[in-house]
Amino acid sequence: MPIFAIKNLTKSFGNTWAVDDLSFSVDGGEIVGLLGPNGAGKSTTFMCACGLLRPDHGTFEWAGQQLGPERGRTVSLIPESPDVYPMLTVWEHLTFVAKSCRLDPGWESHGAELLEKFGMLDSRDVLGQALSKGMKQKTLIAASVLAGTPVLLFDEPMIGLDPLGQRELRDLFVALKAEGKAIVISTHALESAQAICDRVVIVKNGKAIAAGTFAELEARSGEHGSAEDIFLELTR
Amino acid sequence: MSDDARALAYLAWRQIVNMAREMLKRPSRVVLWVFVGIALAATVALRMVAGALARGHGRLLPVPGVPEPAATGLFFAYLLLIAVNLWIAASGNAAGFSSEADARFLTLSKIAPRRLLAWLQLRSSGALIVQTLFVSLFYPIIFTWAGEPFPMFLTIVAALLFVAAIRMPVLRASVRFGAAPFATLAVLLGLAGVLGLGVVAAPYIQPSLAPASAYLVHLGFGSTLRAMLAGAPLPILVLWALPLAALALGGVGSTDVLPEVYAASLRAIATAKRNKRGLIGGLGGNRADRYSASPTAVTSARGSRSWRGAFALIWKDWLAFSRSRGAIGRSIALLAGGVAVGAVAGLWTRRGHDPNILVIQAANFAVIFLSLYSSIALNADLGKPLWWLNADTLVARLGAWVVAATWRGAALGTSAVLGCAIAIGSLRFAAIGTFVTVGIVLYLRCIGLALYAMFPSQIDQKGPIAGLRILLAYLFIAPAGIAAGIAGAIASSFVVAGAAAAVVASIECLVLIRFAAGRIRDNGIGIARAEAG
Repeated sequence: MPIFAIKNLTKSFGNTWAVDDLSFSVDGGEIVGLLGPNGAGKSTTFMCACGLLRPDHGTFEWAGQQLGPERGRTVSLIPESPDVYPMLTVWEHLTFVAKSCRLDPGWESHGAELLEKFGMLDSRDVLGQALSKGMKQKTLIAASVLAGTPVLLFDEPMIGLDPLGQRELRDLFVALKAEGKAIVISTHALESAQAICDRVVIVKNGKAIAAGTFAELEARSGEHGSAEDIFLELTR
Repeated sequence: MSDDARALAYLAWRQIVNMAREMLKRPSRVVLWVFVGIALAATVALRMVAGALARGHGRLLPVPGVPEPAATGLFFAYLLLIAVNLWIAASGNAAGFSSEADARFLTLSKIAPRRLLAWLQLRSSGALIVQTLFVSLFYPIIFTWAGEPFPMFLTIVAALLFVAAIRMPVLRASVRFGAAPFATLAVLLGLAGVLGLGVVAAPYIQPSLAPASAYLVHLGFGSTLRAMLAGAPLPILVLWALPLAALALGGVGSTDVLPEVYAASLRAIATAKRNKRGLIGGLGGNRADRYSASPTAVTSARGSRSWRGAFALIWKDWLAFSRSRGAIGRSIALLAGGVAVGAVAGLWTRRGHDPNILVIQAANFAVIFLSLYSSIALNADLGKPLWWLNADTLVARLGAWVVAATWRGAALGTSAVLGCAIAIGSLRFAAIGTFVTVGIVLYLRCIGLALYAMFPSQIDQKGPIAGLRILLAYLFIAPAGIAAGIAGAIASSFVVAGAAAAVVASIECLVLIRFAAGRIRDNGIGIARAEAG
């Protein structure tokens, strides 16, 4: 499986180091959790990774190839506030993606499949302004999957979702993983992270302070208990 | 048409179609659009005919043209405008994305970055053309003195388009070669603009400097502008070549500027949101700051005992304003600019023009211009529990909001009035001008608030409500004016006239605020949600 790698990423705002020499990777078909307290640099890392924030140093690679400024086509960010065009319907979002990504004829059936899988077939003609947060997330994910983006970054995806929405999103992560997508999730929902992430990277003050499976982190921290106990011990 | 162009055209077209459909879903909106359209068309036609009849010309649009040295002054003012835009672009501020969704979907696409940047540039410039056309249509008084309508429109659009179009190529060049050369060029152009304006205006202050002004006029900068306004094809074609070249340059090369464009877009979006709320600063920062600036900490303000209840909203607004990056500096610069513009206008009236007519014309322009661009968005307040926790009545809170959203605009207008008053040496002019300025800004906010409570949707706010704001402004200002006229005539005192106008204006504003409160009460979240729809 190809690997998405962030190497030696550094980003500062004035005298504040938001991200400090951060490196980690995620395989295709793997879910990695990016955990850390508020202000740890998770969102900044994602913004740099998708090409919307210029890093001071660092490189991004996919399948051994270094990604340039246009890495937004390879790395798709679904932000905490998933914005869609308020005056486009769900289907029109997919149509625009198909047109702008020059997809082959016949993309419509793939698009319809995606909407069905995401439980959005009934909402295909609903305008973006009328969608809930969960529906907007799904629209963005469907657009990214339709565009063939292999790396998906989710910034705090569980915030604002009801229990059913959270369950659906977790199932979606698993389905995307099965399709071979490389997924990085930044979240404070530690129990969810423990349930779906293959590995986690814990960041604090912009640096990676621990990485591995929950079992490995448990062993390292010496804390036997919940994911929350381990996280708090490591970020203390 | 290439695939990229087809995709972008699809994106724009579908949004327009869906917006039109949404608007037509509510019959009240259709009635509103038709009413405002007819009313404004009638106003425009009447004013054009009246203007022509008053001058006794056999045509609808008399064309005296822009006289010298005003034409030369306009040329140097334009240089100053170019310099400001160069500086803005060299500082990394060239917005392009209209929303976060825009950035998300356009960077996900496989559209070549140079084409994408050219599109963003073209789109924002296109919006400028539409706005210019809109203002030109609804402010036809310009036609009566500036020149032939069509060449004038072509000249203004090309000039503004060039100013907007230079941002992207300059940003790209700044990222590639460093900002210093462009910042230096901006400073040099700015100095040239200020110096030119100074020389043009100098004889009004010191008559012995007239030869310098005459020499500058003799160089012909102003005559080129006059030729364009009169419809000379060659200068207009040359002027149009400038923005077209800038647009083409914006798409040349491979320098990556998307991060800068994204950051600038977020800042522009956040600023537009704050302006609609009548604010200039945000208490907790915003997403734009989150990604483009270092976190800041300030010493907590000690709550003053006098700022309680509804007044706490004004206190909160002051904190937001004073903590917004560069707000104090920008405000001082704006106030100084207002004084300077007012002083120049005052000096102009020394040539036999009536300063009172100048005030009426300026107020007239302010009513139309501010009405067009003062759409209101309150969902950030109405949707927050803090707003509803306040101990005072909703009327008091909305009144406080009006004051908080008014004082900056009022201060800016007053600075121009005071500059003019100093130039003509009239304390009476300062008093009346300040009174009228503050009154107009207050009226416009109260009218905007009442209309927002009826039609909170941003589709309406940017559309027909802008026209309705203009009509209602005149309708509400008239009683105060009549009251002032009657009281002034009876008492033979402008103080009594002002007091009468103030009483009538206060009653009207209170009625408007009470009306808005009645609509918003028990439906705050509904209004906040309707704002997005």
